[in-house]
Amino acid sequence: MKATTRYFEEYEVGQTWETMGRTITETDIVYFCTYSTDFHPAAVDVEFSKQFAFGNRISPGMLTFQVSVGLAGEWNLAARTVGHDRLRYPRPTFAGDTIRVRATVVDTSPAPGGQADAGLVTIQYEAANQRNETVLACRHFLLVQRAGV
Amino acid sequence: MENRDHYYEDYELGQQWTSSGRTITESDIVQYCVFTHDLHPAHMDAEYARGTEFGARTAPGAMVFSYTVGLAHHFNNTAHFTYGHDRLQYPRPVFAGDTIHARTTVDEKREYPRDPANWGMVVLKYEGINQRDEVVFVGYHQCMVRKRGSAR
Repeated sequence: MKATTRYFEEYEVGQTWETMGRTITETDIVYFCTYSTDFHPAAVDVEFSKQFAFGNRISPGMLTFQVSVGLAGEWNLAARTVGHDRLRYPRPTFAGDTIRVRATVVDTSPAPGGQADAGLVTIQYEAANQRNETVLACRHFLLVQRAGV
Repeated sequence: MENRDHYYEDYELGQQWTSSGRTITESDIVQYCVFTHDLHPAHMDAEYARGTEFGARTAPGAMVFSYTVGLAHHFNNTAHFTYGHDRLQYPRPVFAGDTIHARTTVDEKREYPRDPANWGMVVLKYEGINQRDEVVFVGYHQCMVRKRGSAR
């Protein structure tokens, strides 16, 4: 992949793309818990996890989110992230599950605060596993430069 | 770090607690970006970053989010599940060398309509704050929390 420049005018509501897949591994889960220092037993303790219907450690929602954002992100030199919203984790993700992301442009609007040289682009991400079940949905807000400014 | 059942009734609206600090290092940024494959030059290319409005590589917002949440928890609440996260904002950049701590506030409590006898919803507000007391991250954690005496 390569960084590109995509201006605000090049985003249209309804544009969509789908990413490659990535298998969430045991390494990913342990590594996430280690660097974030978020050691909830549902993610790190096999014995604790056995008491639940899932019966196995789950990938923390934040990990599924971060991997999805990494898969779907465009490396757009004209854009920067201002926020994310409505992160939902409707189903668990386990080590061994493979997720891919569908990204859809859902809104383009003037930049907040009346900034004239940029616009706000909202992209919806939906990550699905190998059974085509949605495991993450969220919105990504990008401040994107306008062409020719 | 201990596991503990902290029930819906144990959260008080307006309760607030602060974490210790953690310095975000260059290793944190590089490892995170390689791990998630977020190789945007704003995070990975020092020469490129020198020419941007921030003047240096920044930590990705999604990374600051999980570092703040990791700091925020003083124990693992085994009576809670994550329902979702809302309104994540990254008002200021985080650079390698910045030290952040987390401030957590119990922002909202409400009934869980589908099963009010056993569950409630608690919204925790997280703020990531740097060494100059500037807010670098804000986000809201929607938690489903068991009520005391709920059926397991």
